[in-house]
Amino acid sequence: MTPQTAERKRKLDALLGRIRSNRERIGATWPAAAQAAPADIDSAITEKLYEFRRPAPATIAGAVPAAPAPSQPAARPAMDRAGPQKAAYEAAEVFRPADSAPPPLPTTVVTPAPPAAVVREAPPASRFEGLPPLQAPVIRVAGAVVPEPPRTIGGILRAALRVGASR
Amino acid sequence: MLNAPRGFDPGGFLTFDLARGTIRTAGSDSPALVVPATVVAGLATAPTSGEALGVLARALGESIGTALRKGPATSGDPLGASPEAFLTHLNGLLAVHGLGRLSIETFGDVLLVRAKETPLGEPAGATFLESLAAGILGAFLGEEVRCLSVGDAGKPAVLVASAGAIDLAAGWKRTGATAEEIAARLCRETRGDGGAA
Repeated sequence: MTPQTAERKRKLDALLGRIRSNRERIGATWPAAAQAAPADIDSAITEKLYEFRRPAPATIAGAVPAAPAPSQPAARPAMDRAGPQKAAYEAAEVFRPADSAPPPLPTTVVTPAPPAAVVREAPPASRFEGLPPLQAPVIRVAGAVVPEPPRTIGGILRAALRVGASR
Repeated sequence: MLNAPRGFDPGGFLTFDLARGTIRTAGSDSPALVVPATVVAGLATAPTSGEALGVLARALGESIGTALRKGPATSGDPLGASPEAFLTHLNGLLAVHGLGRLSIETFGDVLLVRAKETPLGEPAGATFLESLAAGILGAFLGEEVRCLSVGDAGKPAVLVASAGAIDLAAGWKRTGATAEEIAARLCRETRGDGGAA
């Protein structure tokens, strides 16, 4: 046991002694204590005292460090050594790390995929020529003999529109 | 731990079968169509709801026929393109709209347009194909084109001819004549009419 630890234990024991002497007053504000055994009360108080002096979790910026004991600089909580208490109170207002990103806006959740992703399955029009599945067109001439069969689509269509035109 | 937000995944929702000219959507057996919004808006001008399908099909055909006339296959002289080039690009446009495939047959000068994988069944399919073909060919030629549905449910086809020939063929159709019978008879009976036939 180091001298600092021995000194700390002595002060705690003294504190516990004062608490025991005021047990009736504690029982007035903590009714369960009046029914508890003295050893249980001592154990609970000791645990609370150690917890009170334990450094606050670093991830909770709003934790207020315990007041440091002037004679025990080595036992000060880490949060107390990190900076002034004013900064800790300012951080307590937001209850999250100051450097964390803001929560995502709802619009980022519901924004649909860009249109390009929607049409990615449709080939561009310029690829019509290269589509291997397309079958060769069917041109079939049947029936009467055609003296001069039209060879262009315009000729075929215009000739068809003249069929029966005089009737 | 909160789950990270995920975007909509469109993968697999649309399936284009370009060989057959069909479009399917995930979870549905019904063929899908790609229809320009202006074509749908044109339905407002349909005189009756019964004619709305024909109005839509004709407007859709005109959209495709106009694109075909301005397309790369017919650059410069659209009417001078070969029938093969015309059909290749026509079927490409039809495929990405989910409209199936077309081919043409001539009986003399009489022209039959055959269809495969048409999106609509009968009886709507005949009206749709008739108006679609009239819209495509009319916009491509730049003049009014009359068509008559002469096929049956298994072999949809439309006849392309003059108004007089269409009226004549409509009478034969009512007697139960097939598309081939109508085309061949029209070829025989109109020989010498009009132009080369």
